[in-house]
Amino acid sequence: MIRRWLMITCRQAQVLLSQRQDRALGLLERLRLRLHLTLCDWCSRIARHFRFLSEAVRRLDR
Amino acid sequence: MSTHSLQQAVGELQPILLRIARLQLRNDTWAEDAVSETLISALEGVDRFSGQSQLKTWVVGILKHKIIDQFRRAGREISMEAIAEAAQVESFDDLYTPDDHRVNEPLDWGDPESAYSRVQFFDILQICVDELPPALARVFMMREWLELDTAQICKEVGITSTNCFVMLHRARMRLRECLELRWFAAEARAR
Repeated sequence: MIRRWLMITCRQAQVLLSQRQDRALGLLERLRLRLHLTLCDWCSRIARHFRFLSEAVRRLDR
Repeated sequence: MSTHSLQQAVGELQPILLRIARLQLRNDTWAEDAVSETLISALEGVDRFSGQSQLKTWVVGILKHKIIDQFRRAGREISMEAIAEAAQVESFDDLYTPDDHRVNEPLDWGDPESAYSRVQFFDILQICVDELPPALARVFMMREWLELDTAQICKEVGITSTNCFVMLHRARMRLRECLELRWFAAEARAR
């Protein structure tokens, strides 16, 4: 039951990974994302890629 | 630095300002207008330049405002159809299995920050941004480069915040794939 509440798919996780750079995620969203990332190496990589992308774009004017 | 040499230093920034403005506005006339206005403001306000920050950072800050003004003035040259199209939820079906797991393993990018020292990396990044549909590129750059929050972007572009989140997600997914394909895959092979 709790599992069904907290488990999200990679597709959903990647939507949240993007949105957390644009808005404050809710408590449940953060919990779901955190859990997903601890279980999923691929999404963890994408999390790093998104963070890197933001930083890289800010450097376009250097 | 004397006022005169500051003014000269401001003038010397013109080529880089133009490059930035073109990237953002994708229109040479608007880019030139934004840069001219930036140079005028900077030269007039050179006394206000405190010297606390780098001159270039200060001038690029002015340019950012001028670019936003230019977006505003150019108004809706990106059609509402293009925005509506860009705001549609993309299924990315080729990226996921039917149960929503990824089909392909995203690469380990190693130490991606080391790419900052490579000029070619920024050329590739620029190509990847240029290849986005214009409405996506606009919203993405407003968010990540101009660092506007989504409420401001919604107001400027005339979209809902849901549209905005969808567009940003699409842009990030595409840019991620593009950088991986054009840069990090080759880097990984070279390692």
